[in-house]
Amino acid sequence: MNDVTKTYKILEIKQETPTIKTFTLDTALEGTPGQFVMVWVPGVDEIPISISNFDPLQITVKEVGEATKALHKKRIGDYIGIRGPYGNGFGLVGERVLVVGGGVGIAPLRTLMKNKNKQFTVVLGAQTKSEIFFEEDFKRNADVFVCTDDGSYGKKAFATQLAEELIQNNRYDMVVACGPEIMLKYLFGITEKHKINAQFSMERWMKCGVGLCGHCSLDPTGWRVCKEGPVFSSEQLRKVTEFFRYKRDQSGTEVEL
Amino acid sequence: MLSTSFAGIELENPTVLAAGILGTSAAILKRVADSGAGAVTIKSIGPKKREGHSNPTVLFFDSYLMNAVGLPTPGYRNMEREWEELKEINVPVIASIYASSIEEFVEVAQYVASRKPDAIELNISCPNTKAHGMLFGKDPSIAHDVVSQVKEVTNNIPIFAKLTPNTDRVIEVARACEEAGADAIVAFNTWGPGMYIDINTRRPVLHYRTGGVSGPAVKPLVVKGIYELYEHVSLPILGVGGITNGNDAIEMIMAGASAIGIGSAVYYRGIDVFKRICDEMQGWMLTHDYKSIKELVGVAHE
Repeated sequence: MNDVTKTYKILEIKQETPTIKTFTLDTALEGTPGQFVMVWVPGVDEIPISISNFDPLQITVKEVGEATKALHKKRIGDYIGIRGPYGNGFGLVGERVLVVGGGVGIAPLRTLMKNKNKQFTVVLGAQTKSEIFFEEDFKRNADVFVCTDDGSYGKKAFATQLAEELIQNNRYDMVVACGPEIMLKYLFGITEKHKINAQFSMERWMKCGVGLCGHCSLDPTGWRVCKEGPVFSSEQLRKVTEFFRYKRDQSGTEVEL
Repeated sequence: MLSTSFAGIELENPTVLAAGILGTSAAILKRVADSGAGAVTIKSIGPKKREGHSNPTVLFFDSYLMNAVGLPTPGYRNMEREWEELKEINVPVIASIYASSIEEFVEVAQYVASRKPDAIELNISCPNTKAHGMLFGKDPSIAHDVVSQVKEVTNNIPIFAKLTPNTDRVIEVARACEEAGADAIVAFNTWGPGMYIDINTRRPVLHYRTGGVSGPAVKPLVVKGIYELYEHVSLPILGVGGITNGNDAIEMIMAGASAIGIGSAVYYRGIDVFKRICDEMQGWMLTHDYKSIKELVGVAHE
């Protein structure tokens, strides 16, 4: 069982952007793109983080809160805890796949590129030039389009706008995406309008990570993001009324998005 | 065959979702009910919003779990949508509550009773916080006062007292609850607490450092605890701890439980564990020629 928290040495740390680092760990996992691990930062917290490479295990983390800040302070040779992989990843259908990544949401999408049977088009979006990462990795197996909110690199646009242009001018069998929920909200509007199947990686506050505590369950279906998700299909996204509207915080209280 | 009644509540089967597992929203409780649970318990509701402990809150091992979630709650006033949607659940709903004083227990119980759950479970046994929980369940006279004062403000809603096994006064506490007017005993909350230390980082892994132990490893302790309770109290007993299959459930019932709580088994066997345990119980009963689960309660004492 991979559910017992075990600690592994950090072998390598790469600064991807001013706020994002990739940690390479002394272990490897087998799994599906889009799955996540629970990462224990000893003495601080344990948080779900998507997998940016399986063998060796890599996680790519943006400094946003207490746990990620503490993780960013770790050095090569330090230990962190890992359990997983957890959840349902992406299930690619068809040949032509449009991949949309926003901000640190780009990270798990890189693992899709190992699939040599698909024709990938990738949109990478970030606020500014210095926050774009993994571009070269994607280019090895995909047509890559970059956009930034401030226009400092690539096209000056939101990832959703660039994605809609591509959808209007090309035929895709499906759209997969990971990024801020506001981006996914607009992107879902676009994929619904153009009748393209989508799979999005979603986020909610998690405690156990294995479907036991129920904290990340969704209204009104009761699906657990850690177990039935984190990747949800268009058909599922239509049924979950809380997506793009509200979520629950650490106490379980509903908060507007 | 599996239908029974527990403290006056009709159950289609004796499996009950234990408190603290999956019970965070009406939506997930409904899903558990649809997965075959005979009744469901809402995660313990407290007097005011509380985040609980930081992660890691639950640790997973082959034969036991350890948790210190720390009673997160939106607070009873902050759950309007849940209260409304709970009405749609078609099996009995038990509301677990906790508090840090007898007055607070009364306050929370009075409000919760106004939302008319099928029963209220008093969590006087959580091992994972300093101010709440176990403290009330280790002292017979305090347990008595919590139950009797809650009974005064909850009309005719059945009151269950959830006991801690972590005291040598279990029987005295159970008797005190019975005298105070409790309608059932829930035995037990988690054990210990215990600790798990990661040897590479030389640190306890649970953020709270210690956590209650549950799962298959505690089952023999629970069976023995219920066997003893059955001899000393006449209240119906909801047996909780380490039941993962139909045989475990039958064993617990033979020890004296009238219904059985399912918690950690959701981890070991998935969310449809309720239906699976029921099928297994039914299979055993058919083979051994039992027609009603009621015939099996306490038979190990004969």
